Amino acid sequence: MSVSYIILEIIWRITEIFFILSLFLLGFLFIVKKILDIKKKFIQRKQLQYMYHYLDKNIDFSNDVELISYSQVIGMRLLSTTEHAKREKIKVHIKELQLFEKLYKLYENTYMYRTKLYIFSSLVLFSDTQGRVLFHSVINNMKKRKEMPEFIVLALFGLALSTEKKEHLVELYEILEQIDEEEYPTQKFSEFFFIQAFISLEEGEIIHFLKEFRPKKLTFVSYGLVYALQPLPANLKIYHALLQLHDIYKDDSSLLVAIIRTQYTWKIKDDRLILKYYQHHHDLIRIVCAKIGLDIIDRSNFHLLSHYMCDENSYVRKNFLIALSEHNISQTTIMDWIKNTYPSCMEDPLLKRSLLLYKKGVS
Amino acid sequence: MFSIVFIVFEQIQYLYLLYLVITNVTTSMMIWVTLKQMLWYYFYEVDTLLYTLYRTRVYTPISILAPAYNEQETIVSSVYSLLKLDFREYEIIIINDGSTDKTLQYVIEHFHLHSVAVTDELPLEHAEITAVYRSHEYKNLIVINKKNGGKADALNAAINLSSYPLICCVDADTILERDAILYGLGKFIRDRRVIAVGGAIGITNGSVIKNHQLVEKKVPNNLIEGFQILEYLRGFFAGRVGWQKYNGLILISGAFGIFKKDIVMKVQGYRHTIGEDFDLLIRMRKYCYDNKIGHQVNFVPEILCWTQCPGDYNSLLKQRTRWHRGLLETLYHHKKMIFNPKYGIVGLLTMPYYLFIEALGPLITFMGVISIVVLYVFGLANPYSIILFFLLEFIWGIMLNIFALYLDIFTKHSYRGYLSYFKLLFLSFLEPFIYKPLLKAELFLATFNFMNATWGEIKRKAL
Repeated sequence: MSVSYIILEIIWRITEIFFILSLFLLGFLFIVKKILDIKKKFIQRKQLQYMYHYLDKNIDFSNDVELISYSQVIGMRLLSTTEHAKREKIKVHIKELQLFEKLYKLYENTYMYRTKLYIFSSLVLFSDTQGRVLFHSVINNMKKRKEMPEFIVLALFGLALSTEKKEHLVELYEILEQIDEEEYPTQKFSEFFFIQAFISLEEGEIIHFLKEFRPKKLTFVSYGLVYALQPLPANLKIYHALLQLHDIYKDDSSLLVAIIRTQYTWKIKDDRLILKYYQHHHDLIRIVCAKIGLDIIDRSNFHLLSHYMCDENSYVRKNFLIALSEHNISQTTIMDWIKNTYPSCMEDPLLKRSLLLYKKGVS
Repeated sequence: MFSIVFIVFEQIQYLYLLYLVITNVTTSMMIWVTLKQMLWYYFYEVDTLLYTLYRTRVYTPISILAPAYNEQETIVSSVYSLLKLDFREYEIIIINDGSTDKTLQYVIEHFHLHSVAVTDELPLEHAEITAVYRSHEYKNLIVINKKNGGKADALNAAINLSSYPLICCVDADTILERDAILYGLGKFIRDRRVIAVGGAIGITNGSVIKNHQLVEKKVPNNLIEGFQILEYLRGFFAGRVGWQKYNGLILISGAFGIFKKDIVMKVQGYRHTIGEDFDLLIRMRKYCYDNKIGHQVNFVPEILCWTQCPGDYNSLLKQRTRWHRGLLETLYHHKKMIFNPKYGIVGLLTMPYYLFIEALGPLITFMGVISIVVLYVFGLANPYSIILFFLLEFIWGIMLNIFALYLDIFTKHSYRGYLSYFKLLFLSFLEPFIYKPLLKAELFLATFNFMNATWGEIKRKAL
């Protein structure tokens, strides 16, 4: 038997197998699609019904799909409601219906991975102490088995939403630190969960946490934590706790930048940080100071920042020029500042370039 | 003498059949991987978390760069569509790459632009920028007017002027989905190793556009356009999603791609070449491998961007010739990466795949078909080979088309109405007989053009 004949035979067999598999797969997909479509339509119809009666006390579920549909509706309501009283009302209703318990039972009795995940995505929305235990166990199990991270993300979301005291925040931080080493999430990823956690955490608990927050090493998670404070209303006490944190990690430029940006978001007028670091050797710190310095320091100190007109880093110069133009500061004023504060800068060719750019409008 | 010739032909014929089996099996496996990925994506990612993410302030600002050359017909509409994106903080940089029509004039008039200074700190090289414009009305719109230098050159100029850590490169004639940036950004947030994200591209030909938005997605009646829709579907389902799963993706369409600016700057931006988008991603990945930077390239299996495809054969063949030359040129430029274990899956799998299946495919097909015809004419063809050729080249092709189509119906339902899908189904049967052979013949010729051009001079075309 020649080699060519064997090759031909192999190709023939592969082709045969493919066609049989293809036909089988097409039929299988067709059936699955039909079933899913029917289920999807049913869920949509049910969700539409529940949308307007989600606080109905006599609500009853005749099957699992109804329970899941309702959970999604009320869960999303809870998530999108920012008014405290309304949120509490929804929470009470969820408790009265024993929704968590019912869903948990369903979750335990489901073996399809995807269905389980779907139920879990509802469970995380109305978690309590019982939920926290479940989320912890899910995170631990998943990490051991190194499975798809979707469950972990949802469990983290559940943990964040159910944060009620300082200890919960510590737990969340520690888990995120572990994940940071294994899964490489960004700082924004941690920030997202901390934002959720801060929603229902009281001011005192946050301050308490920050005062005790002394990790061996600052990471993306630590910076994410500071950035997550920004959506909160301006808070001087928290700001002072951040300054204390900075005193301990003085050399960490990312933390410093995060604190200055938080100060800017909260519009806290305080010259301390900017005046101490505006000539820092780290480019990023100077860029941030140039960009937002004029917004947070006293007007009487504006002249000190005019050094940025001759800064060696073009982004520092550009950001400062934009800030100057936003504050409507005239070219004469800028020249006066430089003449009086940094006379040596007057001869710097970078100054001429900056002034020309300022005159024409910064691009 | 003749018997040796016939033996050679016979061997070529087997090589060709083997090539067909490898191509088809790989494509089928990719479709299978995609099916799993897509199901996962559609039943999970598009709900609670994305919604919550959107409501929070967690995002990274992004610069959208759109090079334009003689785009007076579409430019205003494209800018409007970019201005309507559902995203908190982004800037749009339009680059008029020395257009000879009224592209710049139309943009200036419609958006009331005024001239601003050109910064002199431009780390990436490009043709001279003659003016930069901004708008009082649309604060996030910047328009650069520069001398013609090609798409890569235009994008480099825009990267120099961009302010944000992520850049999104799009074609000026594309319409982005309102939440395109949000989808792309999600990938960057989940994994800090992600250096680039691409998305599926849809075709607007035949669809209805109102107020700079795509209101009705329909399949056109034009055969060539219809074939291309099918080809795009198959390409995304049977390629990108699968490669992404194994972190082997090396191609993100030039019509829509988001990149980490710091890595783009490290590799000196775009290289002046025909396949600039293909080349950029390979160089970014090479840089990461060389410097031992863990990295990922991701793909969103969602149509994030809609673009016009060529409506006649001449334009189509010109476009494909350019793509094929770009592919060959880029592979040649990075030849040291092929089969090099230092470059992981990219060096050992993706690049060899692109070389043997994509780049040399037309050549192998041409030789294979010739050998089958010659053997048949002289009555030496094995009937099995003929049947296999027919099954592998045509019937398997039809099956793959149907699968891709079915996947689309199953998950995304990109086009509206039964009629659209009936049209595509009909075209699925015609495609292997009409469209594919024509394209392969053209690409076969392009392979030799590339060889001539490498040792001679490649004529660069404007955008």
